[in-house]
Amino acid sequence: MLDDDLQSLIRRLKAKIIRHKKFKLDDEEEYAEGKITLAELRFRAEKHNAAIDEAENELQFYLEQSQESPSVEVTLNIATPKGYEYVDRISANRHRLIRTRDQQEAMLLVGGGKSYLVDRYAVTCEQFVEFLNDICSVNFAHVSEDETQICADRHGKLIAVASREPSRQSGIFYEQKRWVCSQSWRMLPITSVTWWGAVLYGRWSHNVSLESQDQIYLLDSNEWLNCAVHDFEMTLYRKYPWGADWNTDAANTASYWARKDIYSYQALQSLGFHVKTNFRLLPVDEFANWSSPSGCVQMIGNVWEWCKNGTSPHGNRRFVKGGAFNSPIEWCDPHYLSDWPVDRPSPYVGFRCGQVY
Amino acid sequence: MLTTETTQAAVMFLISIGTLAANELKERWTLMRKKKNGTLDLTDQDQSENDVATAVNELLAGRTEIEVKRTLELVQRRRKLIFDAQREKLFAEEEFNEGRINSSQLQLIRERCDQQIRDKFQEIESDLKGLGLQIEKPR
Repeated sequence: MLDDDLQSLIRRLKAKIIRHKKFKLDDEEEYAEGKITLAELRFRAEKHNAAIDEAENELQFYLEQSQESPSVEVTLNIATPKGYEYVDRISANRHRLIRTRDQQEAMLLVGGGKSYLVDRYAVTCEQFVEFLNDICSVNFAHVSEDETQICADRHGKLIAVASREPSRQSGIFYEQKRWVCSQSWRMLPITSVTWWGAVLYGRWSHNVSLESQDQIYLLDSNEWLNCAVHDFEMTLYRKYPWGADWNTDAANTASYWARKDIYSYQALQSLGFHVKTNFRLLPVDEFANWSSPSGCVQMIGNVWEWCKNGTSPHGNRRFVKGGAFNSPIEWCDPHYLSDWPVDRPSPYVGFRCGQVY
Repeated sequence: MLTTETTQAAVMFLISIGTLAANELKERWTLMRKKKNGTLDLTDQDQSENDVATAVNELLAGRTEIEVKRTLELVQRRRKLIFDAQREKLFAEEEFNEGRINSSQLQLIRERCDQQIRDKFQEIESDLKGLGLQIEKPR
């Protein structure tokens, strides 16, 4: 039996059990209200119990079968992409991989006629610093000498800005001829990176030539939306990654901080943040319990994420999706589209790599 | 002396509460009998309504009709809340099965509903105790 058929059978059996439990509840209520006799209640309960037992036995059998489904079958059907290592199968349509270059966890999503390979988390400062050091060491990029710590490639295109200025803080610095990131920023998403920087990072992490023109490892806005809200197993779309309703505790947005105690400026400084508001970045693996159906964490909130496309293919702006740590709810709607100039680094924009595989 | 109608209502409440306790809390609720030695198992499937009716008449002999009816109404309200919590749990399971909520959300809902059910059972127990119906929960 195919995995998809098996999963749908399991779901149907679970639904059947729930249905009979509901019938039982209705009967008990009817008896308590004097609408049916005790004999009738017991007769009906027996019938429902028999149906539940039968469905549970069947369910047990299929659950065992689904666990026994050999993962070899999957690896045979789906070739592991180059530069990745296969880790495990989470469900029939979701597989976990690790990108060898930067040890980034990625999800391989199969369904809907397309397969997506998307990073589980946004790229962190630590990973980006490694990339910057690598490309600077081969002289692909250079750092400006006037202490503004700007990194540009050999064609002069801006990659990222590292500034100690509070308003443009990014957590990465150029010190003693090396790029470093402060300890408290290691697991925070990289910000202040241009679209071009995100594209170069994608090529670097996939071991592709930095000069190759057609390789862009970013998702376009529709693909991003699919990874955020499409449940590949149930073939349905959620309104938000975690469910149908907005949840202030599920994402790092303005509404999340609105309910928190306000930190003092000194307390925030001790955490490494030179900001005067309570809003701030959080580590990329926070809110893992509220991940999207695809398994990606923080598709909403924390940082806007660069997309491959923009309103015009040759224009100077590209879409950013998902909202940032200071965004109001309406900007954090997965369908909300915003764009940003490709060459302007922003402390609110980061990225995660992805491709249609 | 209670009317047949009130006795019948009391019997139905007690049996349905016993069934609920068995299903939800996995507890056996038994009614302590004063005159005859021993208890009456409310969750026993072979229990006839007549046996419970006899026990209720015997235990509520000194109570007025209004008093019994008022307590039964109270119990009915609490039982309604238990049904609501049970339905909410089933609805959450359904949502989880259809992928609209994740397992941690399901767990949270289950815990909240279970707590509500436990609280209501405790209240029902003390209501019945106030009426003179001593509930025993043998381990």
